[in-house]
This record gives sequence, structure tokens and C-alpha cells, in this order.
Amino acid sequence: MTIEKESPISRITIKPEKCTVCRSCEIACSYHFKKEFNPKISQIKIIFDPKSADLRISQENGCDLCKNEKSPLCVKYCVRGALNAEKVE
Amino acid sequence: MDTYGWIGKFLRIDLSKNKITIDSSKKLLKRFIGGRGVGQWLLFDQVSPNTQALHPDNLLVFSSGVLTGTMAPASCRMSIDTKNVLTGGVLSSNVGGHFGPELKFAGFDFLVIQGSSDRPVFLDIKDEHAEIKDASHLWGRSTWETEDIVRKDQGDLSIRVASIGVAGENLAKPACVIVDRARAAGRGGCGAVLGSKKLKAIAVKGTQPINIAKPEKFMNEVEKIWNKIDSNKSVETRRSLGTRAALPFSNELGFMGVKNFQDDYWNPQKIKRVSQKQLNSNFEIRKLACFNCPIHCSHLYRIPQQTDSDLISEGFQLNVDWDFGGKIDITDGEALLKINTLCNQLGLDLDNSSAPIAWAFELYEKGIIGKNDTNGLDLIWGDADVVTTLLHKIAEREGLGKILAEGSLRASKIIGRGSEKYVSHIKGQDSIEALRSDKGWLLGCITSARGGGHLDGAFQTHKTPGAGEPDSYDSKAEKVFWFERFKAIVDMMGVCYFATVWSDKDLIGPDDFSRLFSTATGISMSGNDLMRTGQIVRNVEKGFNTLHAGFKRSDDYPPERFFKEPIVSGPNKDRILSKEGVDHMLDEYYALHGWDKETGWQTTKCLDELELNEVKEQLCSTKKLME
Ligand code: SF4
Ligand code: SF4
Ligand code: SF4
Repeated sequence: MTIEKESPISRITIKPEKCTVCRSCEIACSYHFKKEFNPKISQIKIIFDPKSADLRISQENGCDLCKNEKSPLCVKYCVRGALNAEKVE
Repeated sequence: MDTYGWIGKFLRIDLSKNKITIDSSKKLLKRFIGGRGVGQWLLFDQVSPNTQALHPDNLLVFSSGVLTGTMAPASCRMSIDTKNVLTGGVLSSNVGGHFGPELKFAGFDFLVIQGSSDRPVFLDIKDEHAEIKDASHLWGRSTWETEDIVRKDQGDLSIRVASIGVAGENLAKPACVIVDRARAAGRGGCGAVLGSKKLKAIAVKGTQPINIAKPEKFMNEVEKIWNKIDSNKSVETRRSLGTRAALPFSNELGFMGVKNFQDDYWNPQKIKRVSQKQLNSNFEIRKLACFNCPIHCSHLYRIPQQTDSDLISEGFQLNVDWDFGGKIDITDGEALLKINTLCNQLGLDLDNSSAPIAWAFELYEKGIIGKNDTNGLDLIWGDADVVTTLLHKIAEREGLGKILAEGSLRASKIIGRGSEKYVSHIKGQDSIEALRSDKGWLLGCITSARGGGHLDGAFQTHKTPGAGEPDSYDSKAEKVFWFERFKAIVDMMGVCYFATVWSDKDLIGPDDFSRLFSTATGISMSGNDLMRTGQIVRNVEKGFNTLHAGFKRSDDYPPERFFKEPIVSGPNKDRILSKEGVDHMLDEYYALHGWDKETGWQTTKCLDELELNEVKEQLCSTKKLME
């Protein structure tokens, strides 16, 4: 699960159909920015409507692809592989 | 900012006075850590023994754990603690989903609710602020409608709602609280307590941070535990099939009660018919998890309906198979899914509503009740339509449902005619577990403070190292003594029990919790320190039960029928409980606790060791403390 060496990332790819709505990515992202847990400041957002089962995962403009982390934290804690890091070719 | 892990504040809501105050929780949290620990202490401290569960003076505590909302795996849990509607003793109910974390993001560790409103209200909590609002538009609605209306009115899909359905409004004793449509805080009737306070729902939304004392160290611990969970084989099974994966195996081990416990073995053909694989392939649209849970044991289903739109509903746990499969003999997976959905909508606890129904079916089979008693219904095993009708009737407290809504023990006193013989209860609450095969399971259920239930000291012998043979009465007491203290830790941390050594020996244990706790809060506590706090909480609950419900040793026994009727089929055929065996386990268990063997009560010595003066004094003044 851990990417051992730093590899430059070009973007995060999203597969909503795999998402379990666990929101681990949200709190992992808030940790990246402020070493706290707070979905509010997350740059990845899970928006789920339990009534219609519609789900949207949106990546906000503030995402810095986890600069200074070994690997993007949202990807690291997404056990279902709904989020993936695409490496620079 | 000097509080880490915890928020450090709580809300006190007095519904009689329409008053809300914000208070500091730091002192309390240091002693009782959070979740169930805090809830149980507040109940002991603030509810008088002669207060009835449905009286305004009963307290309701909604409490997140110290790790709830953090990156600690499966950190989704919240406890709902109140006086138990069925037993008159304690209740601690536990629920996952997303409500507990959101409460902390809103700036509170817990809520203490007292009094009762004279009109329907809901509590609206947003970022360090709370308001008591009119709920006349929500009263009479299902929990699903309630959640939808609250979110729609405020135009925010991310609001979390805990609510009661019509069952709670009508004070039906099997009523529960539902969170996120499908997550139930069951047993003990906490939904009826909300109903008695005219509190329809609590909505919560927050944007505040949870701070951590040593963030890097905490995340190192998280990563280690996360990897441990991610690579665990049993977790893999749970991910695809949930707790229902265990169904065939647990049937062979004798964990399936059949037809109201006339047997503890369900025909394997029937097990095949309700298999999870089939449900998944027919209806699953998504795997689903509670907040921050890498195990994601749940499933979202879409079931085409003949009439209006498709039914979209979260799938269910193994309990439903015990409750409505084995015990009532329903052999259709889709029907089970629909019953599960209906219970969630009505706000009915699956366990406590299925038990009196199963009991009534047996009475009908034996001719003790007839169509005169059942409002013309034919209670034939396996009939899901009749069960559906009865669930509505229980929630509405109408006809036979009004009697069944009392729980089977009280119902048997209303019906009489020898119906008591077929009741399975522990401390007055319906017992839902099959108890004749695994003696570790048995001892944990009979000694559980909330009146039965396998989520306190009970364990499954076959997956617990050093617990001996399932059928032997030896080596069980020490394990129950261990697991009940451990479960108290788990409930104070706010983590799901499924992520721990209770499920699989390689998952989260006391030392893992010690490291998570210490790095999160900056307060160092070893695994042993935490186990001691677990024991303290268990003793607070025990004291409450003695004072409020008058429980003693004689209340720690299994349902009578398991001493008289053996299992009739399957690999555990002929197993029956022996009084000597149960006594042997209880003697050992009380000795480990330092409780008195004759009465089952606490002693001065054990309470002194735990520095529980308050409990000691109250017991002493009522002459229920032993030397
Ligand atoms: S971590 Fe992955 S599975 Fe969980 S909510 Fe985020 S995207 Fe979905
Ligand atoms: S890559 Fe990093 S910054 Fe971007 S959304 Fe994921 S966790 Fe947040
Ligand atoms: S294991 Fe299942 S019930 Fe427990 S937190 Fe995870 S998803 Fe929820």
C-alpha cells in the first residue's frame, strides 16, 4: 500500500463506483494540510445521497498532490482503490 | 487549545426547561475516557434508582469516543447510554455510521439530554451551537423520511441525523435509534426513551477540527494498524460477504437458534437459499463502510419494485439471519432484506422485535394462542408477510402488536396460559443468541450488564486462543472477564468491535489502543491501565444494575428452557446446559471480579481497589454491598 520512494504524481484518478463512502480520504487530506482531522478543509470531497444512491467525488482546486508526503494520503488510505495516483510518464 | 483527541466540551440539553448549556468535559473524560465510559458514569451519578426509564428524569447520553473522527481505523462509533426500558438496569447501545464523528466536528464530545418536551422537537446542532426546534412536521414519519426532510430543509446532504421512527414515538419497547438510514443503536429500547422525551431526531453538522497531541507518532501507529487490518485474511472475507460470511460455519458450531430455539441448527439447504453471494450478485450496487473503516463490511442494494421506484437499501448483518432466518424460518434473502429495511424505517430493533414474534409463532404452533389472539393472522413459520404485518403492529402498538411491543417476558404475563415456558430472556430482555453449544458465548451473554447480548464479554471459543473446548465449562470465565473489560475500552475509544481481536486475534488489541490513545491525547496509558478503566466502567454498570434493578446472582442465568430441552439436530445434537456447569463458570467469574459468590454483589474490597467510592457508598447505604 505504501509507495516506497517518492514518485512524481501528475494527477489523482477517481473511480466512484468503487467508493465505499468511508471518507478516509477526507480526513487524510486534512491531516496533510494541517495535521488535524477535519473534512471541511479536505480537497477531496465525497458527496453521497443515500436516497438516490448518487455519489460524486470531487477534487478541489487546493489539492497540491500531497507535496512533501511520500505518496498522496487520500490514495494511501483508500482501501478500495477508488482513488489512484497517476505517475508522471 | 489544550485538548487533544477529545474536543473538551459537551452539551447539556434540558427539554423540560427548553434550555441548552455548554460545559467543559475535561475532568470527566480523564476518568472515564469517552463513549460508554462517560455515558455510564453520568447515568450512575445523575439518575436516581426509582426513576423509571420512560420518565423525564431519565438521562440520555450520546457520546463519541476519544478516537472517534480521527484516522484510527473504524473510528466511527458513538454510544447511546440510558436506563434500559426492558430491564430497568443499564443500557449502553452502540452505533456506527457517520453521526459520532460529525458530533466531534461540530465541537462536542457528547450530549446529555434530560427532561421531556411537551411537543415534538428535534435538536439541531451546528458548529458549537445547538437549538431545540419544532418537529411537528417530522412526527409520524419514518426515520428515512425524517432524515430526508431535515437534509432537504437545510439544503445540505452532509447533515447527519439520528432519529426514531413510529416505534419510538409510540413507546414500543423494541424501539431503537437509527442513524444514516441503516445503522441501529439497538437493544434496551433507547428509541422509546427518545419518544418519551418527544425528541424525534438530532441533526448534526460541523466544520471544526479534531486536534492530535503527537500527530506524526499517531499517524505512524495508524499506519501500522491499518496495514495489519488490510492484510488480514478474515477482513478479506468480511469485505466481500460481511458478517453473513460466517453463516454456514456458525450454524455448524451451534450459533443459530431455530424456530424460537426449539433447535440450534438450521437446515443447510435453507442457509444456501439466503446466501450473501446470491444477494450480492442480484442486488448489490456498492460496497459500503462506516466512517473511516477499511473493513467496509456493508453493502448497498437496489431492489426493483413492482410499483414505484426501486428500493435502495443498505444490507444487513448476521443478526437478521438469527432473528428472522433461523428463529422464524424465513428462507428468502430478498424478504430478509425487506424486513431489515422495514425495521430501520419504523425504528424497530431487529433483535428485540423478532424475539417476541418468534415466541408468538411458537405459541401459535403449540395452540396456546389462536386466531382470536392474533387478529386473524395465521402465524405459520417462514411467512414473511405475516412478520411484516406484525412489525407494523408492534411499531403502532396495535392489536397483538401492543402485547408484543412489551417484549416477550412482559407479554407472557399478559397472555399467561403457560406461555412463559417459551420465553427466552436474560434480566428481562429478550435473548437472541443460541446458548447451548459454546459456553464462552453463553457466559458472556448471561453476565452482560445490559441484559443478554453477545457484544460484551461473550466470545467464540473456536477463534479464541486458550479458551479450551466450546462445550466445556472450563477456561471460559477468565476470557469473559478479559473481553468485557476490553469491550469497554473499545466503546470508550469509539472504534468498531469488528476491527479488534474479538473478531480476529491479529487485529486491534489493548496495546494498540494504548499507543493510539497516548499519541492522540498526549496522556500516557498502558494497555493494562486501559483494561483497569474497562473494569471500572463494568463495575459502575454492575452497581447501577444492583441499585436500579435489584439484580443479583439469580439474574445471571440463561433462559430456563436451555436446561430442559436439548438441541435436536446437527453436529451439536443433544447438547443441553447443566446447572452445575453454569454455576461453576459463575463462581469463577465472580471470583475474578472479586464479587460475592452467594449474592453476585460487589464487595468493599473490589470497589476500594478500583477507587469507586461513589458506587461503594450507594451500595452500602442500601445494604447491597458485601464485605
Ligand atoms: S477513501 Fe476511497 S472509498 Fe473511502 S470515501 Fe474516499 S474515495 Fe471513497
Ligand atoms: S492528493 Fe493530497 S492534497 Fe490532493 S486531495 Fe489527495 S490528500 Fe488532498
Ligand atoms: S466493520 Fe462494518 S460495522 Fe464496523 S465500522 Fe466497518 S463498516 Fe462499520
